Amino acid sequence: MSDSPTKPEKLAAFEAVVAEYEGPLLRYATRILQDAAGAQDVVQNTFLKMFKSWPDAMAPSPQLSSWLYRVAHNCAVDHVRKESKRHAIHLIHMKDREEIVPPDRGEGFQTSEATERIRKALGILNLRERELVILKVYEEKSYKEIAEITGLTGTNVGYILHHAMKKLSAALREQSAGERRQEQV
Amino acid sequence: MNTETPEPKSEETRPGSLCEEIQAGLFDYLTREMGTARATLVNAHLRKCQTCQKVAAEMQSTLDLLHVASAADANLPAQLTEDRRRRLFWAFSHPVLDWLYRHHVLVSLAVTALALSLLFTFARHFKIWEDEPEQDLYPVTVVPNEDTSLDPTPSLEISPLPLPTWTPPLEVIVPDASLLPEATNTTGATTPDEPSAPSIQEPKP
Repeated sequence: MSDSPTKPEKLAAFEAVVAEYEGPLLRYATRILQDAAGAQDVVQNTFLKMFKSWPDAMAPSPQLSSWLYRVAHNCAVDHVRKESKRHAIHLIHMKDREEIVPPDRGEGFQTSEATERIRKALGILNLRERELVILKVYEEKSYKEIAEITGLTGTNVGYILHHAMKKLSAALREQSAGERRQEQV
Repeated sequence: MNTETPEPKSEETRPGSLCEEIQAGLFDYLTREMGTARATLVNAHLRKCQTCQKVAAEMQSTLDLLHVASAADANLPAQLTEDRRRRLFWAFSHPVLDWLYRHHVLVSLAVTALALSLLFTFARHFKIWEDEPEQDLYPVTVVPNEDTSLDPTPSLEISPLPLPTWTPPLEVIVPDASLLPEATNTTGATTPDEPSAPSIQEPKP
């Protein structure tokens, strides 16, 4: 007799994995992309790739978690590239719109003052730096986990994070200085 | 007289100095990624170096702001939308259809190429673009039979072709049986009252 799971068992396992990781992956993708609809696309593609490519048994595990974050990151990079191309085509149009209407980041994406400041500051980071900051600070991953997800070494992770934090601090300092100048004026 | 004492410039702020080394590891220290021995060294340095304290405080405030923003993001969507979830499980249940759906451009091109090749094969097989070949004509030699006597000097007189003559079909008129006489004379003579025997008449043209 074979021990391979039946189709309903596979479906149940798949449902369990989706239920376990969809929330964290959606938050992660939304923070990277700053786009709720794009994050939905990214997470859906991540799960589609999972049941095609994940070689082991489909059950929540640290390995699967790291693998899913890595795939989500790659999907997010692809999404950003596509959006960049689209943005380049409609650059002038988007520039006009941005002055009038704030970008729609989907339902439930409410911003507070702190979030807005951080969002602006995160905007100056490149995708790799932003990803590492989100993984470390928001997702509370260790350097080891981040290294597994990103394929970097632990030393590289620390180095990039250090420089990303310096950039963030400088950007926030600049924002505060700008606000003070405005108040004085 | 300037009573303010200038802030003592530490020699450690130079590149490659201890301060730079400590500051490079501040994020590790603040996020508890540093080993205990090194963290003790950093802690001891921060107690006495105001420059590094300032840098550490700034980094800590940035981290705090990130954590505040993280907490504010608690209302981010935590589930896939119903459409995407349905699509996901459909793809899981129907992998082949899902593959066709995702590669619809490739599939369309392949189907078109297949249809064209089939059409070409069909046309080639039945040669629908070629004209019909002319029937082959072979010269025929007629050799008369030796037994047959042939007129050595055939008449050159051309006899006119017989004109077709129209011959009307004969019409048979059959009298009504009730009008026939019940008995006839032995002599065969017919009485004037009796009707005449059926005769074959030629219809007028």
